[in-house]
Amino acid sequence: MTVSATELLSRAKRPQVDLSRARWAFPLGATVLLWFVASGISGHLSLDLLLDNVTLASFVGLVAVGQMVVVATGDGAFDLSIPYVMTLAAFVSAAVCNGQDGNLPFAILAGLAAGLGAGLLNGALVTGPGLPPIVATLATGYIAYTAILLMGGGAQLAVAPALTNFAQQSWHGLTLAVPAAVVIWVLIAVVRGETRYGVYLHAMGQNRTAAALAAVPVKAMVVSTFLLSGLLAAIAGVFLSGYVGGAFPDMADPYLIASVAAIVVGGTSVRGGESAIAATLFGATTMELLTAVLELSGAGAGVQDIAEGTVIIVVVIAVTGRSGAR
Amino acid sequence: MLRQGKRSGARSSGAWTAALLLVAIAATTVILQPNSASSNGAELLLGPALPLVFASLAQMLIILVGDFDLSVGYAVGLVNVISATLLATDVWLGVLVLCAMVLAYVGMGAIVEIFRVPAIVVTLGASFIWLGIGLTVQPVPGGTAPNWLLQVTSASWPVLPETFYIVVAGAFFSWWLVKRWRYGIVLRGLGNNRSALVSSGWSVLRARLYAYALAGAMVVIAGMFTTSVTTSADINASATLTLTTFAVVVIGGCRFQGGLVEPPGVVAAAVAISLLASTLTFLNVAPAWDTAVEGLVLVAAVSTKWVAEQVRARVGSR
Repeated sequence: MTVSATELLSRAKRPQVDLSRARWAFPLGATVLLWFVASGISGHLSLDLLLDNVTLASFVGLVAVGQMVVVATGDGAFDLSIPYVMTLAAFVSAAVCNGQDGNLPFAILAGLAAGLGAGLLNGALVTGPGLPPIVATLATGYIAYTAILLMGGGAQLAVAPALTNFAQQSWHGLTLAVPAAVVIWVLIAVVRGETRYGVYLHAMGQNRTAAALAAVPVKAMVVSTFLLSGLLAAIAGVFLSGYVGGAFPDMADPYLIASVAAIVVGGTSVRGGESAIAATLFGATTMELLTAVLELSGAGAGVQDIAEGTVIIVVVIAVTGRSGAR
Repeated sequence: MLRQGKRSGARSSGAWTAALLLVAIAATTVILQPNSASSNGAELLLGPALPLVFASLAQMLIILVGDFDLSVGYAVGLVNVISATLLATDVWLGVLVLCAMVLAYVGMGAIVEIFRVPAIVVTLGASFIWLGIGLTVQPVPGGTAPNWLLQVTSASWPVLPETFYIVVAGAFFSWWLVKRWRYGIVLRGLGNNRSALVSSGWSVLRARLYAYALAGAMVVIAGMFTTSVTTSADINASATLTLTTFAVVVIGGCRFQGGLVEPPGVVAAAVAISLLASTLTFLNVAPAWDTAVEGLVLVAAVSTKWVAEQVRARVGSR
């Protein structure tokens, strides 16, 4: 009863100034640092270099947020089908489009439907026969990959010129994909922060049994996260095919490790029960700039893979150590 | 007691399913291609199954202790690359690097246990490290298999082809490891009930390191057989192996929750799935389907099992 009002306020405010709570601070710092390193290698501070990588990171950021929502449900859930679903959506929309601008709206919808279909299959396999999510999503991914090979005969498909024009239009390397992605992230952030959905999501990630007892519709939640992840992967895949000017069978290969790396570098626990959108997005830019730095310094594809793998393992240890100390 | 009995019944039925599947697929293969019943034909069909048999046993040992290995495909690919390059030019350096591969697996186990991080993330990160090393050593497919390795794997044995004896030896050894080895029960305990193991005074770290070391050894064997089958180094050739090992483990009658595995079932399922790929070639199925087959077989196997359980539960409740 003797606690003064000001003391209460200062206590309430303390977490906000505590940097260990602001998860985005670390990956933001890493992004800026890597930008300086890249600029140091190339000899001048280049805004284009940063914005180019922000565009690439927005693709990663889209699928990473989907991955993050799946991981947040706990139970060791990951969506390993993401790169295949991205490619499938790109191929489906390219096939429906057939190079004609007039078909584009319908083609994009078909691509997104393919993503939702893959997400539904993932959700059904996990909630029905009870497959572990990583096995279910891997199976879905390989089925999608076969569809990709059958559609394109193992080769690339051309996309509509209008899609390429739209996706490649840039200001100093910053394309329209970035504002489009920002709208999606804000929508997801609002749903996560302001609705019951976010509460359910974190509750089941922290303790699934308790959440089920508290009448959280656990199975429907699991299906919904895979649907969201599939949809986001499809959006990113269609955008990416416009940006690179075609749909290729292995166009999305780097996106699986990148989506997990973005979450891990963003400092979110991979055990579920938490999510951090801003931190995950800065995690995505960090990983893109790391790749850029390695490319600028002349490292081959092999060294880049080794670096990304090592970063994931080292950072996941650091993050877990931190949450363990809490 | 009742639950125990029920469970062991379900387990052995899993192994029997795999054995039946193997017989069915083998029979189909022989009907489609009568030559495959000859000693040479069987050698040609069974040979390509060896990498999958040992990669699946590696995955099974990791699942036994309650983890998943997402790196097994690229790990086998890396051993393939090393054994078709370093091992061919400098035997002792090659052997040293292959021992380092087993140690790397021990390292993954240590990270998982000491820092309590999910094995999925550690093995996913590791898979890119294996891929990166493989690409650095051998950027494009190439290399040659060491002559002595080809001689060892194509030696002629009495009555049946050598591959047959290797498959049976693999099944027997892994069965002994899990079911008869005194320490095997500790490994099963780790996957089934970690806290019980801790409270009865066993070192969980030691158990996990044993499981990962054994899995690493299986990976090395699988990679060397890959080299003897393909006679070249290609890290990407083994990339899809990871999903296939999951399909094999399910069909072999194991549970993903850990603690309950069925080594002979896994070996039978691995040979069956490998034969299935050849059968599809005989049936002129487009190669694009190869990657989907594993996915579809897995989904079909799990769904059938699930439907059977649902039906059994409904009949039982009446």
